[in-house]
Amino acid sequence: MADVATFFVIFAIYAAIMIYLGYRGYKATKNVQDWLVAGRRIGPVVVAMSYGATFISAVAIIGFAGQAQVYGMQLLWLSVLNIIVGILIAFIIFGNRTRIMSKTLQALTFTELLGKRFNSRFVQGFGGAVIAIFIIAYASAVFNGTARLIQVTFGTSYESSIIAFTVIVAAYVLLGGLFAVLWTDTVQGFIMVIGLGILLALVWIQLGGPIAANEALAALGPAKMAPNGLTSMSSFGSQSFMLVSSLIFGVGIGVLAQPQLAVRFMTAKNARAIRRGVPIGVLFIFLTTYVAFTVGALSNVIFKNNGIAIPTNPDLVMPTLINSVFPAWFVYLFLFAILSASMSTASSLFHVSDSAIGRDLYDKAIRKGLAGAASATVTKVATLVVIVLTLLLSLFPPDAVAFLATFSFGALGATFLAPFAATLYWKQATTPGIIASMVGGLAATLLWYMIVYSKTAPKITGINVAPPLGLLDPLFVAIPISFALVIIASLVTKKPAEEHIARAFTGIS
Amino acid sequence: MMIWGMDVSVFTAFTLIYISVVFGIVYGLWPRKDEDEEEGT
Repeated sequence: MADVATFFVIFAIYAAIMIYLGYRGYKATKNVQDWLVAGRRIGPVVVAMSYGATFISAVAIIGFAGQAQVYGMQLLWLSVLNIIVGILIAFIIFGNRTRIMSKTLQALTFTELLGKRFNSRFVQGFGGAVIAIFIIAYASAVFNGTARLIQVTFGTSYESSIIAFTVIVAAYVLLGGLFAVLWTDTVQGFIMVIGLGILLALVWIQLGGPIAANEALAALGPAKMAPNGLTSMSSFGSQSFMLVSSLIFGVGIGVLAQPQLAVRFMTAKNARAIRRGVPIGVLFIFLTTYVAFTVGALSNVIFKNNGIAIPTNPDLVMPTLINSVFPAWFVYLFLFAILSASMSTASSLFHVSDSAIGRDLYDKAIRKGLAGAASATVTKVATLVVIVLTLLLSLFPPDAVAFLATFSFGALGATFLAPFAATLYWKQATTPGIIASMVGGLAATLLWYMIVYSKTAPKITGINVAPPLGLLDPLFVAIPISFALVIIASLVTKKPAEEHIARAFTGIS
Repeated sequence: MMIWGMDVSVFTAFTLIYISVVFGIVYGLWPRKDEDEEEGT
């Protein structure tokens, strides 16, 4: 177990740097536009690093590396989707249009973009409510993963770990708004990349190189959830295939419509900042997801070689691995990489939730835009509310980390993906079409979780649906429904005014 | 069929990861005259 005193000294320095960046954010923030979209003057490195660090949380590293120990290298397909969908499609197809349209319509939040594009306060308010509810659930999963790592490493209590972590993040988010979030994300992103890069190197050195490591993993033979071996895909249609593909697609596709990520495009200073961010983004996701999933799978070999019992809880695989076989200096470095992953995601989740509650729900939907100068204060109060709720959910965690994040990702993806795509690409989309899509997509997801999905339905309603249907991720059903609803409802309702469409698409070819 | 210790089904994912990373780097760094002129606007 690592030395607690050393950890606290390093942690104090780390926290001081983060709060200093919060102070810099405070000095840079002059108005509500600075607070919510960082003045729309951010360059490629910060856009891409912040996007990546927000995207990849402790859930992705601790939770999914734990799943990789169970499923083996099949999880590399999730890394494929993370790079292709999460970076290439997000930046190239969605990025610049989001930037241009949000600037033209003077939208300061993700749902304000949808609301202004469709002249609907309901769209903005409903979207804000969905974000507030599900992002808080997601944030609690992030906190859970981090606290477990600190708990295993130092033997400190789960509760005190979570409270200390929350105080630091809350301090710099409340001080510096989105500037603070983006700058701290960038520093934290570099720490993540360094920590995980060294982790992969150490694992490969220990196992005699990448090919020898893979061969040793393959030689372990079949596992419970990897019946064809840990370096092979499960047979098509088998239970393990359904489980792993459901996990991969649920998380891999849902990323496209995550408000805390989409808002990064609204902060970019120009098209070049987004395009130049692509190389940084792909390298970042490669160095985080590929490393986490590979190391997670290879942990099977390391545990066997060192005679260490594999933890029954997948969330404890990485903490056990790091604490058992690596030198103390690396334990600290890895811990700060995970802390960075958690803090960067948590700060972005706090920021997007407080803007959803303060700007979208209170200011625009309830006060009808009358809050004016008080808007910034309202968002800060909303931050405190979000923090308290997140703490409560974290102290009483509902389920395993990875699947909780999948739940939130799914709900947000099903609510926003079709409306977001229609906002940017379909001029014929109408307000009723968008509302039907958002409400229908969310309802389909929740119903699937409650009635069909075998990981949640038995606990919620007691219904047990047999595989393969019961193993199908809600996104497989909800996203097609959401797209169908926006198309059908838009075709049968009144077309939007041409002047408004022309204005919304100004500068978009 | 095993390649570098991986079954071809996993090796395909491994290859796609590398192709995607290279594509992203080339796409982002490839000179674009129109955007270079727009820079700073």
